[in-house]
Amino acid sequence: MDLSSEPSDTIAAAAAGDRAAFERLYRQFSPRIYGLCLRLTGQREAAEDCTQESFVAAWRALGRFERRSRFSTWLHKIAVNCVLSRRKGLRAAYEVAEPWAGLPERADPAGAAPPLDIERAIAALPDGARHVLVLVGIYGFSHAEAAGALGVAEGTSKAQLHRARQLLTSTLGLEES
Amino acid sequence: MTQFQFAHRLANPTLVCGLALLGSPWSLAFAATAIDEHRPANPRGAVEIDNVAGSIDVQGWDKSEVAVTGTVGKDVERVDVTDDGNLTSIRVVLPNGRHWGGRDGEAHLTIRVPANSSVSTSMVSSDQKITAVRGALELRAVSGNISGEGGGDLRANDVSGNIHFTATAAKRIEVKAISGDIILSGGNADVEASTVSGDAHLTLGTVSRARFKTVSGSVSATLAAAADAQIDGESVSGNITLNFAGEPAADYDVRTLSGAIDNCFGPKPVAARVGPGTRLTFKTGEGSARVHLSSNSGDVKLCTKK
Amino acid sequence: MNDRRQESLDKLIESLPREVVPPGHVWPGVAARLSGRPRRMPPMALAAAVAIAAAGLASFFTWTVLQSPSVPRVIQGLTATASFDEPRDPKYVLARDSMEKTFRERLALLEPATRAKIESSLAVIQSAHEDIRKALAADPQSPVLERLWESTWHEEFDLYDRVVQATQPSMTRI
Repeated sequence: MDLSSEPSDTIAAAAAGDRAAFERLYRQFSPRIYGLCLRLTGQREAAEDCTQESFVAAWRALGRFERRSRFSTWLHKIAVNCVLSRRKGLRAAYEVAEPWAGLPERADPAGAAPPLDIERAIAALPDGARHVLVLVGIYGFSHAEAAGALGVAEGTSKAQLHRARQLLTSTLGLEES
Repeated sequence: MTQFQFAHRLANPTLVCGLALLGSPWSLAFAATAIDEHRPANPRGAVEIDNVAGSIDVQGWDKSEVAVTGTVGKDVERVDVTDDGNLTSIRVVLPNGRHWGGRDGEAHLTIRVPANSSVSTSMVSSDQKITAVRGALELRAVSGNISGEGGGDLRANDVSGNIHFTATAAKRIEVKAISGDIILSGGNADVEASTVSGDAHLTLGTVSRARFKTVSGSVSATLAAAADAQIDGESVSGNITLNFAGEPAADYDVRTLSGAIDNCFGPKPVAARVGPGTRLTFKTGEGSARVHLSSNSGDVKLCTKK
Repeated sequence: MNDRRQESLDKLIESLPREVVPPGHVWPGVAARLSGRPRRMPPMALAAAVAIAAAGLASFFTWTVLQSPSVPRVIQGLTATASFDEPRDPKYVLARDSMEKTFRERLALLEPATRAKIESSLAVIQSAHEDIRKALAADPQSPVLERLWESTWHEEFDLYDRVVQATQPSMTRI
């Protein structure tokens, strides 16, 4: 694992209590964390909350960060935990507001519906499938890492990814050619 | 304060043979000097005992007196026996503040104390046995076993020795071992038992407060839970097994990150909703009792006494 | 799934931006909640450690302090509000180094068999500490692991104190 691009000095300074250093870490890593939270939750307000919670939790836990792994990986795990712990209250909000909410699970078999934007299609996936697709398909988690983060078996993670891809292919009306 | 110091004499073979009557198995094996000291003592006073190596046998009796008998090796500088009317102190001292002296640095003492005394001990490499003492006991050892039975509250802390104790009349029990085992019989008491790598086996009565902690050793307890019992357990990799008298009405929260949960009553454990691990949560009855157990990789078992 | 469809989907997924800049108001919300330093040894445990190290004293009552029911509750209360780890700030490092030095000096006074048992016990505690640290790296917010982490620190300091106390020169015992 190449850790040479890690901001090790900044991490060490932040771990020692340097808030300016921690802000630099925030500036560097928050776009990725916010993107992750946005796709996992499908909702901007929830994604903002989770991003904030994740960085506050990271500040508190920074001393336990194992420098043998990537800082971004560690942050990702914190963010995933935050999303999952909000999921129960989040579902109701998710079902209400977003423009891409309420999409059918299967596309019109006749193919009459137009292809949908992929972001909306991902947001419309069932929770389990969406989480695995986002973690494994977009953010590069291994199935083992995703399974551990989501509290499922590795086989379940693989099955959910397969399901997610099938649903997306169907929903997006991807052509067989 | 009156003070008496026993002046050490070099042993000679004649003296050694003469000490055989003290019954110590060591008295014929190494050069030893006899101890025989008596001090008046408050029948409800405190007795404090420090020994470096060897053994102590503390026995409660019905006299208002502390009696110290036994043998000390030739390298023991002195045995200080002091009293101030309420506190009797017995300290075995090696030369130059040393804390070990081989066999010749050992003291093997029988110490009789008023039965209602409270007793505190601090042993380095010495075994200790306490019997027929009804006051509070505070027993500590670095290496050396702690054993016996007592009537009062018990606090026992042993780094590398074992703790085997019966304290059925105690209202509060705290036992702590690191690498030694704990075998404890208690009654209706608040209990705290902690081990690092040794195993703990506890037979208890009706418990209101209990806390079990282990790192890698196993903890198994047989107990009944009071209606408002607060029972907590924590483990890193050791197993926790609780066998209850009946199924206590309580709020149960059992979690393990990578161990297994096995319960004879209540629902089946399920995967944790957030993060990895397995969890068992259920509530029975309307009372305020709780059973909260958590482990990293150790197994947790809840069952009823057979 | 048909390879062409899979390839089409892969391209679409690949085209998604991984990073999305959060709105400007998120950082102030984070900054407002950064209280104290990232990691703190619970003040009571640090105070006990400093007391042991600085004075080199281990009286009956120092042991009692570490064993006092109030100490674990304070530590647990602090753990509930602020994560902690072995700090790196100089004050703690100095106190801990001093305490370890005293412990090692006193350990050398004990007979070899006892020394070996204590070293073995310390190794068990430190090994458990390391296991919990690894588990926390994977699950940083676990309250279970937080409690176990605090517990093993308590065990280690208690062991140091037991040895220091047991080897206290008799003339200076309280």
